[in-house]
Amino acid sequence: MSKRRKVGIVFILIGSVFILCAAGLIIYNIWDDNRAQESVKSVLEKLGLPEKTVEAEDEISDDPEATVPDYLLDPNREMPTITVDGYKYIGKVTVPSIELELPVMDKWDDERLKIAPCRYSGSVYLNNLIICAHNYASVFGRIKNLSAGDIVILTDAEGNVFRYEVEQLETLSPSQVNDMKSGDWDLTLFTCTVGALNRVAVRCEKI
Amino acid sequence: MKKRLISILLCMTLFLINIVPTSAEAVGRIYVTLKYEDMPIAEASFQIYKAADMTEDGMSLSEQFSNYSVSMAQDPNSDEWKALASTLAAYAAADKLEPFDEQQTDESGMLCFDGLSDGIYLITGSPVIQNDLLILPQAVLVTVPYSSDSGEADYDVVASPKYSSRSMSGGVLERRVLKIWDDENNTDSRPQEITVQLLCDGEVYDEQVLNEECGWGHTWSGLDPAHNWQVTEKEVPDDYTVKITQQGATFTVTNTNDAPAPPPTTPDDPDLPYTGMLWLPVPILTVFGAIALFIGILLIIKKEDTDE
Repeated sequence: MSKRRKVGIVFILIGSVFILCAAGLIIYNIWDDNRAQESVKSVLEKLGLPEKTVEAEDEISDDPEATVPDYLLDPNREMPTITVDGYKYIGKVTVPSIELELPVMDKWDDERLKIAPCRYSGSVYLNNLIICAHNYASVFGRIKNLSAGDIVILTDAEGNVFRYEVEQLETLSPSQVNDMKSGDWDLTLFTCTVGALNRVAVRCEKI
Repeated sequence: MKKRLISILLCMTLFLINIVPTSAEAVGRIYVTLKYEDMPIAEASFQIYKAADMTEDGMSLSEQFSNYSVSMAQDPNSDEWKALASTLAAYAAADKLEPFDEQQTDESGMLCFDGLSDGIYLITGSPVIQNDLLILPQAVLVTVPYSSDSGEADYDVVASPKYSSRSMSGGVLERRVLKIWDDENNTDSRPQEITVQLLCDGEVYDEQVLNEECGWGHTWSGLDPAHNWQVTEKEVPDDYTVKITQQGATFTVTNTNDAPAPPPTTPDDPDLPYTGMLWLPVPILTVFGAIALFIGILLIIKKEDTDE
């Protein structure tokens, strides 16, 4: 066999390995996406949020017999949680325009992010909640398609419903931690861009 | 009755001749009036306690209240001042402290506490029943002498306590207690649990342990609207002070610790979390794979052409 033919075969082998790896990654990503979809669906079913939800209040009533929500009396209180499969959840986030309904864990790490969206920082009661999630198609993959005016709803573990409106989308680099946390936004959702080189942040204001 | 009339007449006479005292003698008077929607309420009982003495730094609790670790206040117009009054009133009721004096309002809805030395006084009112209504005067803190806008010390002070009212034949009540920690989130200094007491007309009706598991809160249901319900914290945690207020049907028990919180042990996140999927390598691998395949096939085809 000539040297030229041998080199040709090596190139074909290398090329085939690359193509097979690409195909393998596509299969893995599709499998991982389906797994994530099943994961959030399962958590949502087990979460058992109160059936009777209450629209969140902004002010303490003057009525001496009024039931004042705890979050108005103590906005610094820890958000109540519900435990599912050993993990604590602070509630769920709903985005009607892209038919998204997802549970939200109380804190984040790489393991938790594989299961469901997570609280990155802040609290719904302090109007500075930031939620992060993987860009699985069934999770935060479509939030990049949101536009100003779209509604985002956060329901806490006690069934209090907080409504927000999308104000703007921002693209931040992974090192822009302070920029992500600053800006006085009532609610932020973020995930990786498609190539995962940057983060896309959906900034929302309470309505 | 005769004695009370004489006492009130004496108070009024002293008020009219307007004796201006020059020292911290026991010459202060506090006039208390209670009116329900402009109607004078007669025979309403009020109690007065010496709550604190005024010092150069502000105030120090009197001997009677010195064992209570309450959050102090400086500005008589502040919410903290009102909270201090309601907190001290709850403890005075729970521990059945002996008032300095107790009087009832006359037909004009007025009474007078006299013979008061300089200091800060707590005035509490007993619940008043008017037909189907239960009127609950709110506790107030009154300073003697009162400093007028012109800076003059006035030893005749007028207090008109606010009140809440409700129908006694209305439905049963719900009361909630919520513990608030005001300690820079210094969770290490907090106890695992605290105990709160629900008082019914000053008597302990129930005790509840609050902890993280119950979200530091508890709700009592089915309470009789014909009684006065208050809440106290049984023992204030070491290094903390307490402030008890009521907003709506909820009593908040705020424990404050001004000690600085330890610096956070976890450093700030170096980067935002990675929330992507492995899509980026797919086009790169595909392009490089296709190029390699193309070159490989080209080399073999060219070799075959040469051989032919």
